[in-house]
Amino acid sequence: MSRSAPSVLLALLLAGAGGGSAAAGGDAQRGLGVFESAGGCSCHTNYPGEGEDAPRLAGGRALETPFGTYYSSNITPDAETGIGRMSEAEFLRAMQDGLAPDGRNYFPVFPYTSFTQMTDADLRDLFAYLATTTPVVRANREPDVRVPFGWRFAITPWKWLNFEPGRFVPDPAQSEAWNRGAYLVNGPAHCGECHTPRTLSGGVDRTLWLAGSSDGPEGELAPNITPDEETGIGTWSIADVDWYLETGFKPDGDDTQGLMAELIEHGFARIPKSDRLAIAEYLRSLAPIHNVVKTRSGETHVHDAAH
Amino acid sequence: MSIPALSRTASNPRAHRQQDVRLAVRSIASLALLSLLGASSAQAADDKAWIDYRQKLMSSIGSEMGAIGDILKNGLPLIPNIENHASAIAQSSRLIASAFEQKVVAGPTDARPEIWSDTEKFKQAIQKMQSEAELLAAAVGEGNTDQIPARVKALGQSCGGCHESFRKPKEESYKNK
Repeated sequence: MSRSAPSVLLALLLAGAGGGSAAAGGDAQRGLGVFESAGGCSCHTNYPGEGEDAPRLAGGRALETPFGTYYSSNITPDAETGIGRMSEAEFLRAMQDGLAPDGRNYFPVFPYTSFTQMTDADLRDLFAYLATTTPVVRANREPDVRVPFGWRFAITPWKWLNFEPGRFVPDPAQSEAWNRGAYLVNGPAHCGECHTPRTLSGGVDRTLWLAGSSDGPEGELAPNITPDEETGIGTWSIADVDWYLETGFKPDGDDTQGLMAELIEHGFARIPKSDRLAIAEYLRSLAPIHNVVKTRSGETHVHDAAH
Repeated sequence: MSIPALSRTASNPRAHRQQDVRLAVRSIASLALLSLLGASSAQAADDKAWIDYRQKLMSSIGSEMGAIGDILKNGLPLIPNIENHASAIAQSSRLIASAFEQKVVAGPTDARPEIWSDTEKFKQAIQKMQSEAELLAAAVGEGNTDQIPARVKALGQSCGGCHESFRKPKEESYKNK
């Protein structure tokens, strides 16, 4: 009896790990790498509200936007409150099309507008990895937002305006590293979601792609990361970007705070150096946009996309 | 050719006296106001001096950290220099508490008032940075170069640990207003 208990437990654990629709095709180990390239999905852990002991990936983190406050969802494999019942196909549909298993739209605070570029293979691996995380029982919380930003049906026309579903298409004229960087920046790392200002309808302003935003998540200011020398990161070398994404140290020796510090700690510091260099190469190749990003309450907001 | 106002007071001694009193009151008031203004502008200059000093001290630490970064990220053959840079950070960290003795929160500064309301925690955070900087210096001095990445990371976390509580975030920074 006492000898069989551990083996029963082991069998249950194994059944748990391999069971469900979870581990169908993906490689969880590779999926951890995809997870880290997405900044460790930091928005799904409520570090600001609950500190370092916050239940990992169980959601509930307040994401303040100009439209109101949304709360991130539970992406642990708990069957009732997490994504434990989601099939791999449903997970891909969520990430690439912004649709819940019941066919409803997800609020675009969930950046499927970027994740749509991710490959099926990466998403399968990511799904397999998430299935290995500790399930946490925590119900999702409805947003506290102004009309009409809490209306899910309003998302359908929003998508017509602001969402281009489709996978990343490599540019054969560019190097392999450049293409890797472009994929990471625009897909899993979803840099543009915070580092680009938004239009009145809440879509990213494509003319100021990566040129910084006063309205980052949680009211944070997201700097201009185009290579403009005066207002962006034009003076940063490739090594500077790599070092920054690894340590959070800027070229002047200052450190990083806020959500970006979390993305570095749980994500970009852990991805392969070759991936950080690829991101740097891609960012350096962008057209510099002169855009001064000021605090929202400040009145100056200089847009000069021309040069 | 007489100026009517002047000739009127001149011809009326009582009015003259009243005007003298008014003049005296006015000059005393102006003197008081001037000295007040003088005091407050002296105060402002003093505050600015504290802010300038604090910022130079913190920037010097940033520069040392930046120099460590330059060596490591670019693979410069200057690893032993990191010992000096880390020691310099430890030295400067000993000055931080005194630099923040005077409470100055107005003006071009990102110092948060918590520095003066939660001083014990502030001092602990500084102490943490000092120890981490000393550990990095020691690791390099003893030739334990394999420890450098972890030590740099820990030192970086000590910077962040203090900034998180005691420095305004960039969206509140005077630099981005």
